Amino acid sequence: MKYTPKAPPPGINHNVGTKSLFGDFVKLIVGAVFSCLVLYTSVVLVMRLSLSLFEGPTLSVLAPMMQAPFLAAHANLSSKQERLQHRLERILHKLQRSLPKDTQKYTVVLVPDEETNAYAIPGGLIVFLSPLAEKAKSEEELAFVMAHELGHFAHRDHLTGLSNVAAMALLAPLGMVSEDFSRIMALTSQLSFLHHSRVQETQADVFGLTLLHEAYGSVAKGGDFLQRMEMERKGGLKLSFLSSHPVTRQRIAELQDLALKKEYSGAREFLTVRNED
Amino acid sequence: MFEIGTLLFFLVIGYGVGTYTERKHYQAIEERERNSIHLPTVTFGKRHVGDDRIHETQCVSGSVVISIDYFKRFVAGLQNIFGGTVTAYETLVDRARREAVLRMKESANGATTIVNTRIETATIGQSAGKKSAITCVEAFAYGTAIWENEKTGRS
Repeated sequence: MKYTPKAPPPGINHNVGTKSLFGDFVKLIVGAVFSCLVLYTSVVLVMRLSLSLFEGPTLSVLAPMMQAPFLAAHANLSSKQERLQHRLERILHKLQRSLPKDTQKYTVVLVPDEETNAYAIPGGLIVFLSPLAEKAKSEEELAFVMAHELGHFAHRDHLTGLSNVAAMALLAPLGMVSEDFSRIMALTSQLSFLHHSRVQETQADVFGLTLLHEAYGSVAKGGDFLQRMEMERKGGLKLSFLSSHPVTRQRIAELQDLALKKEYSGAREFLTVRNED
Repeated sequence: MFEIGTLLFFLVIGYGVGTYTERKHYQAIEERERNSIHLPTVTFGKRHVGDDRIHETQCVSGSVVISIDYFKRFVAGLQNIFGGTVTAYETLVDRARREAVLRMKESANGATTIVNTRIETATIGQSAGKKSAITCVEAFAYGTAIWENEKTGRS
């Protein structure tokens, strides 16, 4: 048998496909993100439906657990904070008069803290952290924040929050199948949740502005909290798609547009920053 | 944001460095294959070489372990979900086998033929925290090198 050396043609390798690896990468990423979005959205919708069917029993168990730390912190108020607490209760009472009669009963508590924020806790509890109440220059400013939190209750946003938590727990075992797919799922679901959160915040803003106008007859001082938040914001890059709230400037602009469109009293003063009591 | 950033960072590094390393390796493989083309490696036995012509025989082998870059590992992980040809591993296995054969040939210095050539491939090594991800491939090529009397000039 004679052996004749023969090199294969250059540039040809029958053991390696001709498809572009980068092209495969793009197709797989698009497919994975789409699959994750469909899966995550489906699971969240199912969880939300389930929770809404069993909202009463679910909240009767979860609400006390979620409210407990805030109620415990609320127990230790200074005399100045006690006066702020009474102020908040008067504002809540005024706002509730403008809500439908069959609305659930709400409670507001002032909690000493270092952060400036307010929360709507399942079970009808509105939490004001002390710096927010102390920095407010007008009753309408506090009323807008409170009306915003009431908007979260009106839209049952707490169910969406619980649905998201339950969905992530259900999807966690994906990590055992594929860590890369699980990582894409985590990123996709987080971005999806943040987008939905921004939509909820915008809807709560609209509700808050409308309720403020109904209860107080003017929205002139309603934007003061957002204006102050924008002025106190430290510089730096803020990527809106990574935030649970819309960019403050955008919030203010949209609220003023709404106020002008609905011809609310005080709409033109909405953007003016006030420092008076 | 941090998680997206680190993922993108490793993907870019993996793609860039991995593609460069692979291209350089293929260039080296092709050059060494041209230089060793005179030494045939066949899968059949020595029946075509008469006993009177054989001066010496020796079992020769060559092995290599090649790792996959992060970009290819990521793509292969997704391809394992959706199915189809795992193109990310094709070049890895191809390079490993060809490199193992070349090392086997280099260990048979001056041989006339290498018969009964076999190649075995195995996966070794695990990425931290990833139980099923392939990170390294070992290729092992072995055969019997024959030195013939006529070609070596020995009696």
